[in-house]
Amino acid sequence: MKKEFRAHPLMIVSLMRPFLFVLVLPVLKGVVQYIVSREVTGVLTLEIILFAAIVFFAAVRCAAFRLVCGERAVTVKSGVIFRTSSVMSISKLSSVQTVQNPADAVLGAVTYRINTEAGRRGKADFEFKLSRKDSAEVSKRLYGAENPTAVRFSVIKVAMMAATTSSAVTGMIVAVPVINRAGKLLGVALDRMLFDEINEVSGEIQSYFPPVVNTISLIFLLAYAVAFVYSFIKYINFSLFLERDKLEVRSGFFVRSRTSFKKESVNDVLIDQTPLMRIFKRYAMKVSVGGYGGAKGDAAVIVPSGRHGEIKRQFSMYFPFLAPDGRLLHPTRGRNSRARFLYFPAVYFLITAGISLVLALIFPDFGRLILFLMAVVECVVLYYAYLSIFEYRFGKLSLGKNVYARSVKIFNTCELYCPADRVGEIKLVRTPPDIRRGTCKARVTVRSEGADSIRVRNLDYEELKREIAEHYGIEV
Amino acid sequence: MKKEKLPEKTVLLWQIRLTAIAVLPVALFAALCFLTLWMLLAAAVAAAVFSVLIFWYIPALLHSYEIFFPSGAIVIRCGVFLKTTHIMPFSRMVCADTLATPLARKMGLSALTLKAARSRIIVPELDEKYVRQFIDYITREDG
Repeated sequence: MKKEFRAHPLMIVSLMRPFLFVLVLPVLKGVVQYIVSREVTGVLTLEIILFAAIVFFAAVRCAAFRLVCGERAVTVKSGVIFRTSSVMSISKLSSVQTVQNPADAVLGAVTYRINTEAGRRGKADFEFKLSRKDSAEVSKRLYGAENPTAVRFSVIKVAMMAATTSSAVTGMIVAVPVINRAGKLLGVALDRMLFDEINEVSGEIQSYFPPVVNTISLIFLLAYAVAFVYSFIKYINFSLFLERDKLEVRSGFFVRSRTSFKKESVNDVLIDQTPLMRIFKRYAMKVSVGGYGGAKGDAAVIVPSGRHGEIKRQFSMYFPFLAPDGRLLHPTRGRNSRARFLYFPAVYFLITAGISLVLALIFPDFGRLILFLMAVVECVVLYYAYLSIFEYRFGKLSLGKNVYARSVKIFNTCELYCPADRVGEIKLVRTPPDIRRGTCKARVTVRSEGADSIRVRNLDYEELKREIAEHYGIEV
Repeated sequence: MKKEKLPEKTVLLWQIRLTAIAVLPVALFAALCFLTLWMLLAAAVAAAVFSVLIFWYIPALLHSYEIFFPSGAIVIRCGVFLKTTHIMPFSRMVCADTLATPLARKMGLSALTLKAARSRIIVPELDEKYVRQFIDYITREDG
């Protein structure tokens, strides 16, 4: 039976927001008037009229909004002059997400997001406000009601994930706009003050390297700390609710979020390990769900941190239908094969050393800075060599009803599990050395907005061709 | 396989819309002729271009639309200079949007957008009744 839901009145505020810039127009009019005739009249009246108009249209649009939940389809109706009606089959929904910020919590509202595979990346297909009661009923109608099993993760595990997945770059992306806005709001050059402070502190640290190195290191450390706090707050209260066909992820402290999706909607499962996680021998399990929005793309964390055995156990418990069923293909073993994996790290190592030497000879005054930069780059190259050895030892690919691949993605090691029908492309690349040795690189790209992909190097070309022909009936 | 065409009312609707748009630049150029008489020429050229669009291109484009349903998919052919064929299997279709402007509503028409992952097909205004039937059909197909 169909049931109609109306928007929560708080949606008026969300609908007003894009049009608030109009309120600048009377101010501009006032400025022009002042320049021309040295007097300002009617600005306040115009502001009130415009504000009232914005509120009126937002209220009318809010009143016109309807969410209709049927047995098989859900319809979202909106608009007053331009009336739109979107119909989607419930079985095609990727995920629904409810987010409740403190203001929502006080007024009993919830931001409800419906995601499908057809949406734009990083943006929910449909976003509206519902009352808390209606939101619970809508979720029940879309996904049914069962008694979920709750899996909670300790604060230490969440902190571990926050610490090992945070990066200084994320910290900068988060902190810089906040510092700029706070500075503008307070009317002080906050960024300048902060930079002076960092300069002063770094000037007091005595080291072999020039002060600029200390300053840069301190900035990176601070940015990393910001990223850690941001990530920790985002994932605090992290818990997983399991049902037979559905998963629900709950997290957040100030802004609480719930994301529900059917296990069938999962495009792929990634067991990921960042460089820091590698030190602590921990892994994280993430799933890529079509349409799952948010700033970080469409990957939802399922298990924030755990040992490999623990994660594998949880994987087979949550996603038994994704277990690999094909033959495992891996790079050929032997000294020649290992040397091929280490070829590029060796070349990069020598190039970096050569360039640093030349630069040090040309600019002897910057010797210590060049030495520092060379040390950083060589460390990265050595880590790349270490990952290449990982690829040689553990890189593998299995084709069949489900695809499984283990390899390296930039600085992370990862395992990808995905149903064969979600694979968008399997690309075989052969360089001249590959042709000579009868090998190839295989890249598996998953059909999703985020388009997760993984590359396994130096697999036997003939063997891989046979596997593709056997499982997918495609003669390469 | 039965081919569906767009209703004649759709052509009329788009002709009205484009005429409303055309009036503005033509009137503006004509009004500015006191600056230079070249503006009259610009107004004449704009009027000619819009006339071609309104009386030839838009009817030709909308008449070129052919919609048919081979098993489990929708195929849409259209184009005057460039002939395009869109094929979307129902199994890949995620969402169907309808959009009705006040004028279209008055004429009983509604535009349809079919969305799949990373692709969409926009069908110009069809009869509202037909659009409703179509949406019922695809949601039933899916079930």
